[in-house]
Amino acid sequence: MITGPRELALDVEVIAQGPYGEPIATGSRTPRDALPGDTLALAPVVVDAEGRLDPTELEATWMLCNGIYGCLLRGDEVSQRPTCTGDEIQPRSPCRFADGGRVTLTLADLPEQIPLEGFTVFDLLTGPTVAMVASPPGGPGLEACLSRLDARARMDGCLLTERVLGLGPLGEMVALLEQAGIDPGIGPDADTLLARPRNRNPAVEELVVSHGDETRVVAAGSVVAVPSDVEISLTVAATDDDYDTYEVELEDQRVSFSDPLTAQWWLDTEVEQLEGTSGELTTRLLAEGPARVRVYVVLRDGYDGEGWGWLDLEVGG
Amino acid sequence: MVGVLDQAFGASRRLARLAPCGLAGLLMLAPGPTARAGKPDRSEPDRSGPHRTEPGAVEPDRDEPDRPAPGCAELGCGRLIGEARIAGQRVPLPGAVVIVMPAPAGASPGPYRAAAEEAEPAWVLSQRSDADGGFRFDDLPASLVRVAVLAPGYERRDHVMEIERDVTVRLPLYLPALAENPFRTVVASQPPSRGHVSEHRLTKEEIATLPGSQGDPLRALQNLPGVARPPLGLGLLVIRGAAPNQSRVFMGGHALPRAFHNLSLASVFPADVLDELRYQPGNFDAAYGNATGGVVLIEPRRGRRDGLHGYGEVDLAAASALLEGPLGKGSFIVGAQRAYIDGVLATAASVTERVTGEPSSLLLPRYYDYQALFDHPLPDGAWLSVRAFGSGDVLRARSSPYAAQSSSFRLQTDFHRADLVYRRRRNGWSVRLTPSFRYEINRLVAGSDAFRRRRRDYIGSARAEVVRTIGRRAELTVGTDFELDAYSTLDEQADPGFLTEASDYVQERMHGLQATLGSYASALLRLGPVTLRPGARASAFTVGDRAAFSIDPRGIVDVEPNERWRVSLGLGRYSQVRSIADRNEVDLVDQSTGIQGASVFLPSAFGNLDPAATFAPQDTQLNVREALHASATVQYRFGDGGSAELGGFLRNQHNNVPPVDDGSSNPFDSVSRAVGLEALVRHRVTDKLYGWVAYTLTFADLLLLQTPPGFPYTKRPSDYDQRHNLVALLSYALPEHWRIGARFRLVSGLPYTPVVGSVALPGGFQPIFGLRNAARLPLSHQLDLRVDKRWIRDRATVSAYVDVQNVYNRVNPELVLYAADFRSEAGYVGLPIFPSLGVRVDW
Repeated sequence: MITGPRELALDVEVIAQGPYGEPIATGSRTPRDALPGDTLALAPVVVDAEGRLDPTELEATWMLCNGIYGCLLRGDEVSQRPTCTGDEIQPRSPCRFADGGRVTLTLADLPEQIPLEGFTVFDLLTGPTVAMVASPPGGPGLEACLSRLDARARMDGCLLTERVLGLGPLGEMVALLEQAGIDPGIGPDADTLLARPRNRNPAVEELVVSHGDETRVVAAGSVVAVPSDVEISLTVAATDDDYDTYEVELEDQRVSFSDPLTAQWWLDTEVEQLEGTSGELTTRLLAEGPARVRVYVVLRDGYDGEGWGWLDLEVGG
Repeated sequence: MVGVLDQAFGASRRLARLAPCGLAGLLMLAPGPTARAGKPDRSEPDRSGPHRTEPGAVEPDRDEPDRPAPGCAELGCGRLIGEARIAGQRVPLPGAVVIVMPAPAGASPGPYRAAAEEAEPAWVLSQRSDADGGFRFDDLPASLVRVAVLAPGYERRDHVMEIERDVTVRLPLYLPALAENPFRTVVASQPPSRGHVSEHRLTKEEIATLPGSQGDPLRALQNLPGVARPPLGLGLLVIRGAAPNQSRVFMGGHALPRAFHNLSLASVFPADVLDELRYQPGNFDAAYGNATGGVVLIEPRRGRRDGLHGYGEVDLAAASALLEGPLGKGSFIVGAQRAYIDGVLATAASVTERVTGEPSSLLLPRYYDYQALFDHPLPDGAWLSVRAFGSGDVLRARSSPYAAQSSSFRLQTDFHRADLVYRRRRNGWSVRLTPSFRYEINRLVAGSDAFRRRRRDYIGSARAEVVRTIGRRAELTVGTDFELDAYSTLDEQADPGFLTEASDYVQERMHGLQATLGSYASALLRLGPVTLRPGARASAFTVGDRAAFSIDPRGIVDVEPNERWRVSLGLGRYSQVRSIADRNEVDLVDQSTGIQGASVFLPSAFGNLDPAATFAPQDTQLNVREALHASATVQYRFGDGGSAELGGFLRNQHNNVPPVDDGSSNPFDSVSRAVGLEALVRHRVTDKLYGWVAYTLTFADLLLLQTPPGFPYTKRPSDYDQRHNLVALLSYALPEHWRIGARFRLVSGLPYTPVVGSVALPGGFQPIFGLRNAARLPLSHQLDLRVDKRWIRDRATVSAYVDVQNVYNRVNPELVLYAADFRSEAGYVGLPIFPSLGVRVDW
């Protein structure tokens, strides 16, 4: 339940393409996979009891680490991390690359020297991880949050989040390496992985609201009247664009592959959630009115892509 | 009346003055059983049980002549042969006074209740029962007669029966004990021959009736000073802030591989096979090594020779039984215990699942233990004992039909041990030789059967000790002990390809040898009120081709200016070897267990609830922990066997963490330090009421000797830094063999590592932990009650008990619950009110 500032998601999208890969086609979903040289825009989705906080009002700093997660808990002093040089996709040691609630990050070019022995393209794809430490308005302040993190003291009021920046698509990464004369170390049975297009973030545009015999499709951000003390079902109305479906020819057959979508639900009011608190695209609630309940949902595609939306339920008396 | 009393009993004038008028008063007093009956074997301490109290045993005067019965010519005569036995145990009652007289007018054959005022009988015959409780009256007139049997400490029994001419009648009579004396504080009038600054003893009867301990001998120790209350009140032994694996339990001179069953639910041996349990929290004798905390010394008792006896007991968690009796010139005991708590929990889980529809995953513990003891006297006062005992534990995951996946987790730990003990005392020499063989097996299956481990140990050990007593002022002890452990391990890991056949497992085998060898010597010198007890122990430890050594000098000074006061001071060095990887490798206690949407992280102290299953020592260096013990105690003995004592202790232990690979000293080398006070007042307020109050104040820390740069602390609280521990305990014997006991406990919370925040990740939150043990659980207190009732029948005694822990249902914090995002505490987890009950039949 949302009782104070809470990081629900991280908006990450490629806003400028670098020198590599096929031109990114326009579409209804923002691109998520990035290649070396691409520029990403990052902004946290922080909500409180009043709604979403403007990211620019956060006092925030951003860090880049190699590998997958654990960027903020590597044992070094986060308050003393140096500024990133910008010449490594995955920096050897954690560094800070930007301050503020909305930031951009331009990925470095391919490393000039890649260790040849045992190297595979997956070594590049395991990260990097981006982390944010922030203080909301009225919070303890960014410097206090950083020093508390270093001292392992209570961090009440501080916001911390991490995401893996997915490099891809895999097919274009492999092509890049081959152009550079590097064996990407990928096996012959990876057609399905190589054919996968650049990943895009899913989005929550519509939700299906059901109670009793009544079913409606409503736009995200709407206010929907529902009866009190009646089981209400909410389902994310995901589309083909969210599933990123693509086809691959396998043994003379066309086989389709889609992203595994999951949803995470949040409420700002104490209501009984009958199921679907995490993972399910559908959640069932039992609310007692009169009350207005804000429901947030974050939709994830299993490849670091995520989108979010909200709905207000006006629960009758 | 007084004249009759004198004639019947030859009683002293003091008894005559005390006797009320009337035959009833006459029959209620009698001298007690005398030392002439059943003289115990004095060549060894009497370890047969139960011990019979002999309060105020009085040597009787010679019997005066009875008032003779009418001659046989008048009525004809018959014969009466009988036995006096203790009710419930069938044990003969020697020295009981048996009186035969005419039955009162109107009485009919059968049990008879004496009236307050009765006329003097026409004739009276009396005698005492012999060593077998037997009595015999020849030439009783053929008529209705009344037989009365009296003995101090026992209810009298009257029985009316018909004597027929030329007929012999038999009459067994069972006398119930008048008052129970379950509490017998052992307060030696002379200092024991073994050195100790602070030693406490618990008798079998105390263990059985202490509230909250459920009859478990090692959990009963938690009521004594210096022993902390462990997590969930389970049976870990945390002595003066030391981790449980730094203290040892010795049974019959050999260390037990583990003292508790799974999850520390119960000890691996029952209280009924113990002669006595001695607990020494520090500065213990040089005879015991490889421990830096405290020791618990247990000697098994000998079986009873006064007939075949035994018991059967069932409670909510386990069933047990025991049989003992004479065997040739010796005696035997066989006993066993089997837990079925896994069945109880599995049934509860099934019911819960049917109601909620949610899978209920549980770890199900099951255990057994057995004991077989045989003792036989040898010529020249020697004794030979043969002992076999063992214990087995299984901990397995319950497969729920509601769960998507089943778990194959199973941990099995067994040990079986056989001891020979030869003891002899003669002419100031005392010898004890005890070889022992132990077999252990540990098996682990985990990860959906993808991972299997097995370890077998074949362990030979022995202890040889000679004590020479030189007059009344000196005693010298020399001894040696060793343990040789040949182990073999097998690790099997499923090939990550296809798990179809056993041949798909990748196997790794290891074997090796571990040994410990100790030699010790100590002396006892009595110089008036001062007793000196210097000693030393040399130890060698080996694992494969690695070895470590230690020399531990120890000494104690006792000053007893009079019979009441005693001051003891102790100083000594204590060593324990550990292979770095020689730890609980099972790690069942998951550090991130979710409960109902919240998350809980277990304090470090919970780690010792893992079964003590070690698999592979691995190729690492040995480290020998070296501890300095210093303690001082002042004791005052009350006249009734109670005492009050106040002491202080210091334990300073260098953990000697081995150097790093390049040979430089390890930056995490540390010292564990504990200092504190202990107080105990133990008192029998009345014959029916006993109690004690124990208080311990402890400061236990870990100090890093060479803090790495940037490391956040140089000193932190130890995992078992329990600042205050107060136990107040009372037990009261009510009429009709009821007993009620209460225990109140007030304890400081253990340290724990708090969660100070979290990192939001896709789909969840990663907790951020604060500094190790930077927070502390709140104070806890609880009241436990126990009610016992005994029904004493002629041939058996039935006992029942109800033991309720946490009577007022206080949520004493054991664990901190966090919200799903770890940004706030959701509350505490604690044990609710917990009743248990059991029934036992002794015969």
